[in-house]
Amino acid sequence: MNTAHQDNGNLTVGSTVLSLLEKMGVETIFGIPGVHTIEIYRGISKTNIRHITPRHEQGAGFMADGYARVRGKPGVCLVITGPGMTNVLTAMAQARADSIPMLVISAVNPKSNDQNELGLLHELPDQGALVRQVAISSLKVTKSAELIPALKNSFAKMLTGKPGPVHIEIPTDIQKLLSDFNPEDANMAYEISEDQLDHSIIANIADRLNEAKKPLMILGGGAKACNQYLYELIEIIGAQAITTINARGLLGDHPLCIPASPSLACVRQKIMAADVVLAIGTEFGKTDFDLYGDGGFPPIQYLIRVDVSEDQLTKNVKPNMTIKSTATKFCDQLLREIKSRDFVPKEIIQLKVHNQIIQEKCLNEIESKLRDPLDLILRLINHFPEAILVGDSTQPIYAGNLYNNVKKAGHWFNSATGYGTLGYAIPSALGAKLASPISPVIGIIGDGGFQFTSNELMTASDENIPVIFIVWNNNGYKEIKDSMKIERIFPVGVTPKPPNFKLQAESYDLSYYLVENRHDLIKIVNTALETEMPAIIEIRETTY
Amino acid sequence: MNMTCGEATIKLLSNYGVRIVFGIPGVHTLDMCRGLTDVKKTGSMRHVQARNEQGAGFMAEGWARATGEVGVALVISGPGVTNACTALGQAYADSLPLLLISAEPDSKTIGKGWGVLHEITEQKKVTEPLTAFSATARHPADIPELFARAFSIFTSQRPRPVHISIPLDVQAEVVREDWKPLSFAKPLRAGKEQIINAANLLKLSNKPIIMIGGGAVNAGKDLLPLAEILGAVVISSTAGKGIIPDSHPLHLSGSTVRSEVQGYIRDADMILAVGTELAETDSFVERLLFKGDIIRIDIDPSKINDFYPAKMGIIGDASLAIKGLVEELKKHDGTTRFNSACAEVVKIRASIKKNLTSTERKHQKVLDILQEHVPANTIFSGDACQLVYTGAFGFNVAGPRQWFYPAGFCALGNAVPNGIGAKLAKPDKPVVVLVGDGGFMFTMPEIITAAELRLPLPIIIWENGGLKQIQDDMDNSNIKRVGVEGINPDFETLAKACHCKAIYADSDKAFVRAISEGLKVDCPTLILIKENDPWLT
Ligand SMILES: Cc1ncc(C[n+]2csc(CCOP(=O)(O)OP(=O)(O)O)c2C)c(N)n1
Ligand SMILES: Cc1ncc(C[n+]2csc(CCOP(=O)(O)OP(=O)(O)O)c2C)c(N)n1
Ligand SMILES: [Mg+2]
Repeated sequence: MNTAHQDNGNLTVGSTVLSLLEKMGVETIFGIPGVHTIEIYRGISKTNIRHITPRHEQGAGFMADGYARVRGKPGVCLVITGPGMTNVLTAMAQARADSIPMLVISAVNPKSNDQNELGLLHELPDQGALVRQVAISSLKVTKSAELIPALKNSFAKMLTGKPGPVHIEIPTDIQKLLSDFNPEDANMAYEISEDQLDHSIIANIADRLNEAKKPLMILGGGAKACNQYLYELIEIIGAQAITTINARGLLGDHPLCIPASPSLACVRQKIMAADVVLAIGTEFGKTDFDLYGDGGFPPIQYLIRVDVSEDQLTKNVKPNMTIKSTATKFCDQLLREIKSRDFVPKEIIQLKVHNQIIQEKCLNEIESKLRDPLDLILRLINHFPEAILVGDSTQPIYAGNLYNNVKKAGHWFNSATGYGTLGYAIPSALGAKLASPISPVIGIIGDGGFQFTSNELMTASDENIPVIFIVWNNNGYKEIKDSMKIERIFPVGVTPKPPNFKLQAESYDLSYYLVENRHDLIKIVNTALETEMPAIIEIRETTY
Repeated sequence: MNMTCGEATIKLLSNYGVRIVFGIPGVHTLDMCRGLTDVKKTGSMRHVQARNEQGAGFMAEGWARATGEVGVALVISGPGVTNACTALGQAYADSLPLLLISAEPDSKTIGKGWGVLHEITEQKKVTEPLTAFSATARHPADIPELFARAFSIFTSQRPRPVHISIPLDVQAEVVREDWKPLSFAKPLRAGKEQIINAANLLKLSNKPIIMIGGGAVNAGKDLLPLAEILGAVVISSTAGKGIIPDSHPLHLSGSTVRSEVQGYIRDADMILAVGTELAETDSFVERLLFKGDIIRIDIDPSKINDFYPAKMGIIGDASLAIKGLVEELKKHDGTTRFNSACAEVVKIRASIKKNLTSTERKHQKVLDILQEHVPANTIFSGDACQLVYTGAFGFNVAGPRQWFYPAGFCALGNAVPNGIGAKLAKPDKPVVVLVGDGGFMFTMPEIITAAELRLPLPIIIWENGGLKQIQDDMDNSNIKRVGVEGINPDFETLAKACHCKAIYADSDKAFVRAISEGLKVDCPTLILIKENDPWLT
């Protein structure tokens, strides 16, 4: 098991990986070392990269995800082959569904590719085939000269078009070869190709919007980067803008923004009434547009779709016009075009008033069982406008996904959409805090989801990452229990006994607070934030 | 009686004799859950709720390790499946029968990329490399067929995990028939001629060795007379521990990793390898060297000529083949060989003992106390940690399926949920978990599952301040330690938080008491051993 390569200036391929990554701007990596990756770890002392060790590779993946969302650059994981790889799959799939750039570097056994089974440690025949189902690319480095191109290609792939998780596997024998390059001299610049926009289409879109009486925008996660243009754009066009879950926070408190789900009837009415809908960076995914699976998403009179990814342009809802572009470039050009002509500004005062009515309607539409959970979310947003809220699949998050007026782009994200996994919020919130240490970060999780990854609270304590975890305790998988009731199924497997949260916090050296009722919430969160220690705040649904 | 396909699937499972499924429900498995609760319709199936689908998979794995029968996990699509993947990998590498039944989104959405809840590019492709096969049921009628294929793999071939996905719309369809299980072919019996030839080769050998692995798990009764007739030393892999009682004077159990034993293997003139891959994970050398020839008996034809091509290959069931050999060798007189073989084993065992490192001596001390104080039928569920590495050769189990170790895939965190699965499968046997502080944290939340089930389950946690094996590897490779020195929680408080007990074993006496209490109380007991405590030296 032990191959004693001395650090004598002749660098091994494995030991250069982290230096190369540092050159590409990587500051933090998440990983659990093993015999199959130690040659890569050899290189870490030559860098300033911070290494975070989670308690499970699933934690590493979710941390990288949260980190990427907040930092705006790829989150990086380093895992062993076999179980390290399979442990991180769920996180990669969540990142894939939400278009989050994530790089997973793994080892692989030298001979166990191509279905060859020899019973090697951690053997996983055809690891690449498996990972390709969740990654947008998976490359194997088969010789020293392939490492740098693999890294550049993977970064380009992550950042061109629709982002997503990528994977590079480096066989253990290749890791130990002497490298044929010096990382200090390596040129790690990579190209991101951008499509040229066809001016006539932009002009065409501008015409349409100009003529429209009731234009409307729908902003998805792909629009996150163009926030700066959006304010001006909606005002000139006179369009209200609906934000999907992953776009929530775009346009902040702007009175033309409708931060509510297109699964709600009143939002759908709005969409149906619009004579032109300009949709940017959204796949019209079911977890936003047809949450209840009622198939009731209305026909759109005239739909213009903007997306970086070709196949996204026609998914789910048929467009009348499409344009393949990054959101930023498109908004920039459209704005120039509009400003260059005598655009008739729409009357928006009326719209603003109308917008308030819509927001109220949304709130009224929210079913009664989600009222208390929503109250929690809205209180947090109103009192902690700077906070990043990271959520799990739990009732307060479902409520907030239906409606919330979070103030900043990127300050609301969760795993209740897309892949819809549990146990995301704890590790992801840790990643978010590492990405932005000055922002207050609040993880929101149910008592059931909590138990999926509660081991990562130990990482919070070990690495001293002061995140606040709000546990919404309703004694079980409430959402599933409710569904069983509706389906007339005798409840089974939906009341996992929760731990004693106070003692669990204590055992990990975290602070603990119990919110007796909603009026204590803000005071307690404030106290917890002030101590600058990670903390668990328990809320019991029945007393809230 | 009309049932939904989801209910009928559960009924079919119980018709196949399955009594427990491990899982976590979700809106995607509601129709199967319907089947779990309607005893009248579907027979009594118990649902054990894990804390993460990885735990459910590992529990099913533990069930399979303890019984040799299929362990079943029932999960939602997407994250349920990817969470269970590591358990599939374990069962694949260690040849265990494990059935993962999962939901899949509505058929009409599959492969479309519409962004439906829990969507994944192609679910069955994720699990394909980890299973004998992975299939999606397109119609209810596919299900009895897929089950038949799965169960014949579990019962008459090299066991491997299987994944069957049932889309939401298929689960909801109405089923009118009562699906019945099929009967299966008997395991393959090797040809008579081959057996005679092998017997002749063995007769000629002056110093034969029998190496046995998990594939020989049912062949113990036959292997013992064979070894005694031949006077052959038996060396089992960790998966083969207890097939012949580890304390038998011919047995060097789980010790291929020791150089003392590797030297002995090198000098043998004939090796009979039964149901073993002779894998790297048992020796940790690139290739085991030996002068002699090798005869391999395996149910899987691809194993005859892999890394160690056989002089002679026998394809078939281990137990039947060994019976045949015993029959052929009845008249062979290996008494002299037997006596010297016993002497050789004594010598090797002594030299192993002498050569233990100071840390291994600490492990040995704890293992010796366990040996003396737990009943002989105890099942040990071990994680990938140093205590268990030493236990592989330093602890004697009495029978097969009593020493669990995930030799192949080697995921951390399997020991606690494996132990839960084993205890549910064998409620009458004591089950003891052996785990490192690092590995324990991987699936820590599952101790609440065990507490909820009121399982007596001593969990021995070896605290050495982190991922010690990798620390050692880094130290030995001149790599500055990174990521291997994480701090531990206060385990005693954690135990309380999770409705368990904890005992800090700070002396021999305390340890002995801890074990006896841990086996008695109706909840898990964390037994904490600190590597640096003086009582261990
Ligand atoms: C990995 C995974 N397993 C199962 C599910 C199915 N599921 C969705 S929500 C839910 C209940 C979660 O319970 P809790 O976190 O307590 O939130 P609550 O619904 O009670 O607010 C379950 C089991 C899932 N989404 N992901
Ligand atoms: C899922 C997974 N991740 C990483 C590894 C690599 N690995 C093998 S042993 C080990 C250390 C385990 O530490 P601990 O459980 O404390 O046992 P110790 O080595 O300290 O006895 C690690 C990290 C693994 N086997 N499985
Ligand atoms: Mg709950």
